[in-house]
Amino acid sequence: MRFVVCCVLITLSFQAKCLEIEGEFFVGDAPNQIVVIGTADFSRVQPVFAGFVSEQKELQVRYLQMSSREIDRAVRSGLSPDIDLVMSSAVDLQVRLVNDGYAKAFEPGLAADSGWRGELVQYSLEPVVTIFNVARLVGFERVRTRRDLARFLERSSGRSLRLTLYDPDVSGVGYLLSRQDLVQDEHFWSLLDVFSAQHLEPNCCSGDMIDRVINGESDLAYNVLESYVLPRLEDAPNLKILRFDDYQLAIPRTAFIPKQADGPESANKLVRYFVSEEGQNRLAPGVRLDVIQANRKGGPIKPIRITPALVVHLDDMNRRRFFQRWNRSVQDP
Amino acid sequence: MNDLWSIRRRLFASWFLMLILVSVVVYWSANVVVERSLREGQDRNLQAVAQVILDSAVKIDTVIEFELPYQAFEVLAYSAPERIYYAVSVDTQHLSGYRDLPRPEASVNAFGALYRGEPTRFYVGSKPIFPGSTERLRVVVGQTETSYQTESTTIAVWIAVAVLVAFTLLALWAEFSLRHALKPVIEIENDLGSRAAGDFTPIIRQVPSEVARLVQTLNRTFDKHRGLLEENRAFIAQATHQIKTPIAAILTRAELLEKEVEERSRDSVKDLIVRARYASKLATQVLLRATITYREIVGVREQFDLTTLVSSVLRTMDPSAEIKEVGLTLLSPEDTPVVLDGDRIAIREAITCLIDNAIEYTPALSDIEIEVYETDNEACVSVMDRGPGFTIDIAQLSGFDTSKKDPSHVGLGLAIIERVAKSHGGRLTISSREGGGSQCVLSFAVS
Amino acid sequence: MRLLLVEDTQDLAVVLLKHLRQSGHTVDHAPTLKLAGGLWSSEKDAYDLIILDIELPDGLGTSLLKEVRASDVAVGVLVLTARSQIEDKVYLLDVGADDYLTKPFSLDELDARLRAVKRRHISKPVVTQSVGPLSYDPTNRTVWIGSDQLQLRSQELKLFESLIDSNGWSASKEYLFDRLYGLDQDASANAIEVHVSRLRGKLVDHGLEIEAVRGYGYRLRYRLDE
Repeated sequence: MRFVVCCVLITLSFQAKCLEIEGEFFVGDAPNQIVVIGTADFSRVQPVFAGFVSEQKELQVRYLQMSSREIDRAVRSGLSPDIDLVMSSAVDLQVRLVNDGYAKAFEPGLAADSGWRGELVQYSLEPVVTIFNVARLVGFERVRTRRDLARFLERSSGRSLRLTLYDPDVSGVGYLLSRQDLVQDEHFWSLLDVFSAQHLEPNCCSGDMIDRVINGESDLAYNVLESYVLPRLEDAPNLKILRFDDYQLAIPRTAFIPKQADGPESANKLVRYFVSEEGQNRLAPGVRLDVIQANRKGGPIKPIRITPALVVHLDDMNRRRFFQRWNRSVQDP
Repeated sequence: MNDLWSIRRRLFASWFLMLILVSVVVYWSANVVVERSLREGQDRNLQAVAQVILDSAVKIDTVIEFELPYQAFEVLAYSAPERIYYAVSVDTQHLSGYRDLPRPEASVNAFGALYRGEPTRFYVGSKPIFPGSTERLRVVVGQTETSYQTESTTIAVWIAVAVLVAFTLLALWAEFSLRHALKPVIEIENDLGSRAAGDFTPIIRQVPSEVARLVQTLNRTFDKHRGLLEENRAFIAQATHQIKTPIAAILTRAELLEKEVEERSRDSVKDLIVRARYASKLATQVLLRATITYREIVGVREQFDLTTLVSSVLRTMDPSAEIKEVGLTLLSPEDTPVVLDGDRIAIREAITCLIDNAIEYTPALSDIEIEVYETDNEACVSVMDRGPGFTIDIAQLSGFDTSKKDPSHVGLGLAIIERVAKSHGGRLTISSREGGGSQCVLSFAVS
Repeated sequence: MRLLLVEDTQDLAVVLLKHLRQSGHTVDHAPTLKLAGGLWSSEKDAYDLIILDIELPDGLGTSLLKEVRASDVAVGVLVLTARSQIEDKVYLLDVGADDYLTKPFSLDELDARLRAVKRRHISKPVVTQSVGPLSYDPTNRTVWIGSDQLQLRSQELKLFESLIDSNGWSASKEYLFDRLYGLDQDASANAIEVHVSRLRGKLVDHGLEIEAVRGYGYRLRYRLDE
């Protein structure tokens, strides 16, 4: 389903930049276009866009779906002034772009509560959960925390359980989540060591990991985006969600207006609509900003804080050291 | 009187100036101090981060390893929504972070610089890679300081506003206390203002020590004035007496002599009498003038009936008129009072002078008519005679007129009358009468 | 008249005594207040008039003045003062002096004031001569209308007397001139007319009229006679 278009997008780029686009979508048919590039699946943001253009009749939303790394590359190499808004779940990359001065400020008040510097706005929050095949993991109900999980796996050392999690080398989100686990839990490396003792197969994406658990290829997937799991629960009776009691990570989806953008008014309108009650209602229930207050199982939600400290995670030297340690755990069980 | 100034206004002007000055100074110094303290705090945070990085650095084989502490950066980022930058290098070799961070000009650790168009604070820390090594690991941590500056400005503004408010309150209080403090002075002012012209009694109210000297001085001045006045008057009285007593003897003897001497000497005796009378009259008038001046300063006032006064004067003048066979007639009915508020004695003297003059200059056997009447705002005494008329300009009636040949026609009389009239808001009008003679109207203001 | 002269200045006292006695008055002289007080209280009714100097060696003449006014005796007081402070004069009048003379004064003025003061203190006489509604007292040479004195000046009185002394109350101009001025005094020819006119003014309210008689003189007439 992923297709790569390496082309000269006439309307977008006069500087003949190649954008690796995963999909191009239009909402509404008004002549004035607001161009958004984002990482989210179009289907997830489409209802919000639809709501927006029904309110702003003179605007059409053009959505270009891209990977977070491609967005980072594109922004750094200089975006076309036509691009009005950048929306991404890779909060670390987003923060680094803002920190490095690629964003311009939203109108006052918009980014006051849930953003950074008034240049980065959080419009959605995606909790991260662990899923498992209830048929394969007997007695797993008692597992409530990561420590419980480690102990369970240690006890099951003979069974060679098939585990999966994001491959941080492939997935930006995976790297972000692993670093955040390390921030939250100093025992994460030992948890990873326990994972490696079983049959561990890192994966690129939440969707694939869910598929593997449903298919029975994996018994447990650690750190999966909850919003991807929820729609699948109905058809997969063996698929169960584990929401840890110690802490639950959540990834903020954020947006900023590129520095070059020449008409920030429509971008401001769009983001204002996104954070408005109506916009939020058009998002899937599990990814709304108020999910942090929602009455749900598990321990406290620890969203990844939108802080420039995230920049250090992206440091090459830092990455290298991380992967040295990661590989020691994953490759030398 | 534009050059009148008020202490209050002056105080306020200087206070206002001071207020502005103080606010500016406070704002400026607060800004400097707050900015410096914020900057020092920021520098310490930057230093802490740099230090953690430096402390974590180890050299394993040829690779230098170090840790970029997420939590330390988070603490730094938590303090303000500022961009943060870092760079790690060994000598000239860049190891990690932002390559283009500015270098300090001298060997300072903390410095500010414009980086990517924003004022940014940097901290540079370095240490040898291992003890004794010439290679130095260098860590730069930077953070933009826009919000620090905004914050320091905000704090400075608040401090300035607080000072402004405090000073304004102080000014109001000062105004209040000034008013309160000046109250006794104002009371003294009122006391002095409501005083009669010649009231030289000392001020005896309780006064604050600050103005006690002023009041003392005033009282002393009052005393001195009163003393001088009295002394002056006593002196003139004494002098007049001393002059007049021998004249009296000369005159009386001369009069007796006149009847006894031979015909040829009689003229010179007569002349002696005239001159002696004149000398005596002058002396009387000098005293009169001094007395009237004194009474004017002292400001004696009473209510009396001008008609009664005039008829009483006429009664005492009648014998003088009779000698000259001059008729004295009061035309106004005696039962029509003309009430006047003034110095009865001075006015009596003025009228006496006026009638005396008339008797003196009117020819024998003629008639002098006196009338007392009241106009809308004046009480008048009119004296009509059949004398030669006045040739003197009233404006010059201020002293002796020595140009006159006839010594009896000289004197202070008219000057005294004028003075009394003026001090009563009136005037002396002299006009010629049809058929000869003159009419003198002496008027006084009626309140 | 009998006078009491209270005057301490020797020069003046001598001159005044001489003059007053020449004028036909009986004068007692007291140089001190004490002596004056003694003289007056021993013979209160004896004096027609007191000439009182204010500044005396043993006190102020005003004390005697007050004493005189406190009694019922009607006696004229003429005050002599050398101080001539105007307040003093008014004060003297206020406490009961009939008149004052400021030293120095002419003897004529003294005479005139003495006459005026004396007239004021003469009570209604018993023996009088009726002139219309008026009555004339030849003893004291005063004219009365009812119980009030008609204030006539010396020349007017002489004129009045001359007329009522004459037959038919008429007199020639020459006669009147002689009566008024005597032979040795020079006076203007119309002086008689002036005094006649003044007397006329004072009598007319009482029904008395002075008529000019052509080529002769004047005649006094009482209108109600007709």
